[in-house]
Parts: sequence; C-alpha cells; structure tokens
Amino acid sequence: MASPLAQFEVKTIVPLEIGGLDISFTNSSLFMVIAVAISGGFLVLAGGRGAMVPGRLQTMAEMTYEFIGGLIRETIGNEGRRYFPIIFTLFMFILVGNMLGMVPYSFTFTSHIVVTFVMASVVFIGVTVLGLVRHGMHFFSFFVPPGSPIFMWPLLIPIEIISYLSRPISLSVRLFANMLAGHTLLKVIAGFIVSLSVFGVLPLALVVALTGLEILIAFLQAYVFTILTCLYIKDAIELH
Amino acid sequence: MSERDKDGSLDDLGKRLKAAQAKRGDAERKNGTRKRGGDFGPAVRVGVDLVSGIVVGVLIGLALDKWLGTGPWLMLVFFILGSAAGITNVMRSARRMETEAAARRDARTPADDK
Repeated sequence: MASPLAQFEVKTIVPLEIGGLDISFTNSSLFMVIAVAISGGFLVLAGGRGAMVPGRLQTMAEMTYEFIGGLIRETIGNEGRRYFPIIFTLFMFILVGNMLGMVPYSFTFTSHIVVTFVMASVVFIGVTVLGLVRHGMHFFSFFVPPGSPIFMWPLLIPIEIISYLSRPISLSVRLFANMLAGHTLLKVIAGFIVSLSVFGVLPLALVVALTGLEILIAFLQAYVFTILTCLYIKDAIELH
Repeated sequence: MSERDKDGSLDDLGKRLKAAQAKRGDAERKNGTRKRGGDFGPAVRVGVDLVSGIVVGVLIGLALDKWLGTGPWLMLVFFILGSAAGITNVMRSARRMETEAAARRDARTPADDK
C-alpha cells in the first residue's frame, strides 16, 4: 500500500525551466488551473443569462455572492465593499481547492504550505500597504495598544509587532495543517480496512464519517481564511 | 416618459439604494445577526494563534542573535515576547468570539423591552 503521505507528492507533468528556475507544470499547478476553471466557469455559466427569476445554478452563484457580501458588510462595514473582488476570489479559490481535494485520486494544493503561505503573504502585504496608504505614518500607532501607560510601551510595542507579524503564519499554517492532517488521517484509517478483514467495517464506517467531517472542514477553513482577511482589512482601515 | 425624467428617477433610485445599503450594512455590523458557520469554526481557529506568535518571536530572536552574535540571549528574550504575543492573539480571538456568540444569543431571543 502506498504511504499515507504519497498523496501529497508533487509530480512534474510538463518540465519547464527558465533562467535556472524550475517552473514545471506539476499536478499541483494542474489542480490550481482546474480550481480556477471550475470557479470561473461556474460563475460565468450561472451569471451569463442573468435571469430575473434565477434558475438553480444562478441561485447558487447568488447565494455565494450574498454569503461573502454579507460577511464583508458585517465585519468591515460599507467601507469593505470595494475589497469584495479580492475577498471573493480568495474564498472561491480556497473553497474549490479544498473541495477538489475531497475527490478521490485528486491532489489537494491547499495542503502545501507554499501555496497557503503565498496567499497569506498576499493578504498580509496587501493589508500593510493599504494601512500605510490610508494612514501614512499614523499607521504605526496601530502597534501601540490604546490606553496603555507610556512606561509600558517598550514592552508592549514589540509584543504587538510580533503579534502582527505572526498573522501570515497563523493564517497559512491553519489552512495547510487542517488539510494535511485531515487527508493523512483519512488515508491511515482507510489503510486499516483491508488489514482488519471482517472487522474492517469499523474503520470503513469511520472513514465515511470522517469524509463528511472533512467536507465540513474544507468549507470551514475557506471561511476562516476569508473572515480573517476581512478582519485584517478592517484593522488596516480603522486602526484598533 | 422623456429621457430626462428617466435619468432623474434613476438618480433618485440610486440615492435611495445607497441609503438603504448604508443602513443595512451598519445595522448588520452592529448586531451581527447573520448566521455564522456554527460553533465549530472558533474551535479550530485559536490553536494556531498561540504557536504562530512563539514561532515568530523565536525566529526574530535567532536572526538577531546571528546578526549581533549575542549567544542565545536575544532568542530567549524574544521567545518570552513571542509567547506574550501568542497569548495576546488568543485573547483577541476569544474576545471576538465572545462578542459574536453574544450577538447570536441576542438574535435568537428577542429583547424583553419590546
């Protein structure tokens, strides 16, 4: 039987190298392209007709839109409307990526820290630039906890800065670790089914239950990534 | 209907839409009545917050130590600062969840004074 970690191996499909950089098209890239195609195709197909009375597909697209729109209104307020495109894109990409991972024999690109860390870095750098552009130097007052006495500042400011720098790490590790752990667990327990012969029904039942849980987690992690992005944008807009 | 009239009513409609949107956004934001992803979300959220603070603290400490050649000392100092940052992260998330939960409770049971 293959190792439980074999599913995370990145395999090269089309080898490519430019200037000493390995930019081969891998199974990871393939599934990212599929994710983009699915989310893009879904929205184009659903919204193409723009019927007054929406069909099934259009209702799904509108629900997704409303879900993210409501999330933004609720966390950032009306200011957040202009950040809808990036937040919605992130949500769809992560959600479809996680869900694609639930398809047997597929590859879960969100189970790789490189992928999630790049997304978290985009959010982190974007939010920092946004804060600097909106508030200029005043942005750095974000690192001073409100209402703290001045003599505590030498201690509190480093803590706040570390807390701020830890954002991309917690954002990326949370998504990556959840996907990695879930998929490994599924595979390990599935491995018991064969080796336990008759008693294999027990792990089989467990795998069925865990698959359901994994689908929940796949959605939840996309949601958590999105809502934290919203909160970071709110922090950058409002400072405290 | 003349072109001018149409434009006027569209402008008016736009204004009313904007006002309605502003009102709705603020109201939703204030009481956060929309249903959230359930109570399972917060549970998976906090664990990483603590660790990430410590990791960043230790990394900064190690980098500074390497740069200034100050042995393990800055790493130790930044480990403590990082732990504090991690706990700050956790407390912030917890506080946020508390307000969210309170808002959800309020939404479920209508206020008594009405």
